[in-house]
Amino acid sequence: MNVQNLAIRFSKAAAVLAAKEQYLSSVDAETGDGDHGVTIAKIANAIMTACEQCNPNAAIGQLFDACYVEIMKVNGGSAGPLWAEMFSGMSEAAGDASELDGALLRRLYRGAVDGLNEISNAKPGEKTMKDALLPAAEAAERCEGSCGEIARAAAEAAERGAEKTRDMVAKFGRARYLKEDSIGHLDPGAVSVSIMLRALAD
Amino acid sequence: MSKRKFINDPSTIADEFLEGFGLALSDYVEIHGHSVIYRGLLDEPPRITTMYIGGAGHEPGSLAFVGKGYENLRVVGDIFAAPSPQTVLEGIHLINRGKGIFFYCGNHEGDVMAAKMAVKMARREGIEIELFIMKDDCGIYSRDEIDQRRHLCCGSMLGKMLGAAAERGYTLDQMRALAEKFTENVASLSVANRGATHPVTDQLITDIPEGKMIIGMGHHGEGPKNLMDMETSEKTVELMAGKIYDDIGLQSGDEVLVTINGSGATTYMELMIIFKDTVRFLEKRGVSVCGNLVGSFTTTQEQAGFVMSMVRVDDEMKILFRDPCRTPFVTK
Repeated sequence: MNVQNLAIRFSKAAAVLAAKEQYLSSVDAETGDGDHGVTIAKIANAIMTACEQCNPNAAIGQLFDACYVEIMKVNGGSAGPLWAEMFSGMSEAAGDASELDGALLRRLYRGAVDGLNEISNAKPGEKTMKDALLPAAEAAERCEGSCGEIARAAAEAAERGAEKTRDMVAKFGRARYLKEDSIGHLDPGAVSVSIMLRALAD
Repeated sequence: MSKRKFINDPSTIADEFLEGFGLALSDYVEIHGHSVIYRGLLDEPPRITTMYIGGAGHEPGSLAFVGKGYENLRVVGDIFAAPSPQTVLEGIHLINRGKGIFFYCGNHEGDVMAAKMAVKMARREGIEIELFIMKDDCGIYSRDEIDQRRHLCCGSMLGKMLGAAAERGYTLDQMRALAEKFTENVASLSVANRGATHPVTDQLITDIPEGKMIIGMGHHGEGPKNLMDMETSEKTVELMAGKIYDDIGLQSGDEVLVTINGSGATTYMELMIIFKDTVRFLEKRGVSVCGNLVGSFTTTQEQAGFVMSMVRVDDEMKILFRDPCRTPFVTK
């Protein structure tokens, strides 16, 4: 897949994500202030803007870097910087590749994790977006199929990971002030990551 | 259209608020995008400047204290959302006078992340900037777990001291030492007895039934959710001041500054009664109140309740708190 088609795919996935604004806000309302959807919609719009302005001769890394720059402009609490760093990590993993193949795709999920680790020291099981992204990266790395199969494996793992956050005690974000009372509620950050990964895979 | 608030487009609330604030208080401040700056800053000889950042939705928030001898810059985000690192960096550029910047920031993930990223970018440009994270909420985490403590409401007391210190020519290291001393001696606690409506989603954030209250609720309606029966001012103060007293380790003979910060819907009448009860509570234990800030500064829309914050002070801190200043809400 070339950079133009990748940009279109990311843009469409971002549109799917933006459409889930109300749902994401309602997940956030259970343990936070109920506006994660609002923030994610802003981030999704930033991704769409970057994708629409993508130079067809650009390397894949430049597309992701453009997304990073756009997301960095969003007044988005902690989600803004976190999503920005995911794209920054993906940009680094892509290097100067101009075609997406299975080998690169596998590396991109790990790149996103590495980007996150630059500013988040959350560990697995602490009820954050890493609980969706890390399983996705691991599933992608284990998958030896086509790009489509890799993406679907990652999306499934992310969805399962997000569902598991229900039983975790929050150690980050506003939900952490609930301590054990955060159990029984999904982590909105993990949910939004899994929605994006599923939209990219479909 | 909002069913509860006189706003226009929900997505431009912060922009419109800043526009109005800039028009109303143009004697004190200048607005550049989402940066609110003390108007006279560039007329003063270059020195260390001070800054704070935070989400909108808590008006006036620290904007009440942007001015001479106090906070030099406040960068505002969106409703309950920290400003982007880019926006923060733009603010840093506006107050950079080449002598260093002291950036104090509340311990909220979004704010801290944006701050760290902006500071990293600023340092790459050669700007000397010190970042200090404020942690004062004693409601959930003990002093041993201080890094988990969120920031509730001491920024107006610390901000005053830092503003005065900058004017007196303190170095960044000296200001850091002052902020650390302050953190060792401060504790804050909140109570809420009616929930707020989120300005953008128009939804109630937390529903607190009449006759109940929650001690320890955050600035955005976040947990805990343990309801208790509403009490008198005196009894509520006893519960809250008692916890703060123990947390700081106050003793007879100590002097403190007290902030009673209304959350928005609690009346001035109530705040003054609460303050009086707090002074009496402390007096009985031999602790005297040598300065105060009482009013609805950092609000959460129409949440009813308040935040009590106390810091034990020494001579240095007292002098800095009493130094002259000129801001929209406090002039000495």
